[in-house]
Amino acid sequence: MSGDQGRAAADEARVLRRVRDDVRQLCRTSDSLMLPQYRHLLGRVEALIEIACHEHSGRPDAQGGASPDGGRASGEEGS
Amino acid sequence: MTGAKDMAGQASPPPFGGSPLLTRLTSLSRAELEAIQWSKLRGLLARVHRTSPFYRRKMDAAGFATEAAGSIAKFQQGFPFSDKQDFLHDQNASPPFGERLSIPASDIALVNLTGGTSGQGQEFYGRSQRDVHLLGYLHALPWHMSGLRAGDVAVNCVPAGGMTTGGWGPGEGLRILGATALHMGGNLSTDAKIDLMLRIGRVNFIYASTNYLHTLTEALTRKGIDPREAFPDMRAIFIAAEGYPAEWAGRVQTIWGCRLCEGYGSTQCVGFGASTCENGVLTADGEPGLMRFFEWETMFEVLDPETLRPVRSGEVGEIVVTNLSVEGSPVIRFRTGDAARFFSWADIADGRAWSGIECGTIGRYDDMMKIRGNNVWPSAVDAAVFASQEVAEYAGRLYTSAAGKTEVEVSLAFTEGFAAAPAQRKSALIAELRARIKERTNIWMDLVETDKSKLPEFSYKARRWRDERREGYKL
Repeated sequence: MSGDQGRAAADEARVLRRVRDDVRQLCRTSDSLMLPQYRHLLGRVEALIEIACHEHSGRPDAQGGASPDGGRASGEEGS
Repeated sequence: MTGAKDMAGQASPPPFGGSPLLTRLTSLSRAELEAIQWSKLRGLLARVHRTSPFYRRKMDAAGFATEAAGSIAKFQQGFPFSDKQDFLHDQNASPPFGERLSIPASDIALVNLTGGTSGQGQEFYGRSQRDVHLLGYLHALPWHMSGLRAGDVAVNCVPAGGMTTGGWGPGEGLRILGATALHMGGNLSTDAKIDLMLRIGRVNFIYASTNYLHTLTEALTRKGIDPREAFPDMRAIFIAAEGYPAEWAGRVQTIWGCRLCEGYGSTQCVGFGASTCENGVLTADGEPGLMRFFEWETMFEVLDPETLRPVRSGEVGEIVVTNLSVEGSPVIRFRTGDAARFFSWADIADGRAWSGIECGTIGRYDDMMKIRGNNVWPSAVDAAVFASQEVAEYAGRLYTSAAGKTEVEVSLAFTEGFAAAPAQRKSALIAELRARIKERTNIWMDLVETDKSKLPEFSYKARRWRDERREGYKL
């Protein structure tokens, strides 16, 4: 990977993580109609981070450890 | 809440209370609601004039200029209608999506076709990524209002997937609502669905066509399974697509021990455009309730199909649809051919600015049969026949007799329990049903008993009528 490519990938990862963090904020809503839609969006963003950055983002990994991003934000579990 | 909640013995979540968004929408004044509509509509009209030659031609030919129109009232006076034939003609001239497509074809994420049941041809709709979410939302919204919540187990009995909006929307809707979805429609027999539901046990929600709910309920009863015992966690059953009598709805609520809810939707609405609210399909008095329009997403007009003027509150008219939030293939003043009894928000007077239509009476103008000079809708016969709990299914046939007269034969299948009843009781019921059909249609029809296995089973929209009159004229 060239330096430019590396910088572009880093920028992409940074934007995706920022979007993820923003969506996690949205997932703190108590609106029962909007919350599952925000979770749906979060799932998509987490999958994109996995795909584009090869970085696990979301639930703790299979070994039971927390993800590099600390797992899901509070308020995301349960309904 | 209706008594159905009490019958179920469990509390359904409040349909609006859990959502500040919905609470805001319920408290909009009519002026505020129309301001949202006009804001969205103005943007849509400007966009389609720029991007869709189909709509640009219509607008220019009618001398309609969005900014000059300036209001919803003027839009409804001056914007030309479209109908299925317009769309099919447009598609044939510019296949496959026609020039009404208002996004680049490369931005289409999903293609929906209409069902083709009219026999006239299938309309093509291109959905953008945004439209696909909206498609899911316009299924999730009424289901949320009926009590479905994230984590609930939902059984979808409508055939899933494929090319139709009705096949694709439930999957998207249940996914974005966070429900655990079981798409059983189309690929499992009724017995297999029942077996699977019994194995799962904790089923909270069923989505089915009216006709298929009847089939499922009848099959459970035949097997001696009490749905209230087998599925005690059922919150709501949501039906769509066909009319039914209020008596039938009351029985279904009693049998299942939960609220029966209904939605009005179509491919043109990109999902549901209206649904029941707190009370489900029946009022506290057991009369047909109302489905309220989601007027901030879709604009509805209910018009006299002859004069094309709005019907008054309480009258039946044709539903005309304008999408307010759709990108790909928006419909603008589209004549659906669906017939419904309209109720104005002002007359409903419950503090919500949403108009609505009566539950259980949606029909199709093109389903109308002309019989001996009378206009007869299949839904009228459905209402007469299914008001009796002894009837499991029926099929109707129009034919020309040897004397050249139009005759109508209705083959009735009774429920398993009643099929074994004494002949005298069955004759009495047949006579009663015959009189009830005459009362609703002005036609004396010949009713004959048949075995349930001889009648077709429908997994989605029922097609109970065959018109064989032309065959009678063959030489």
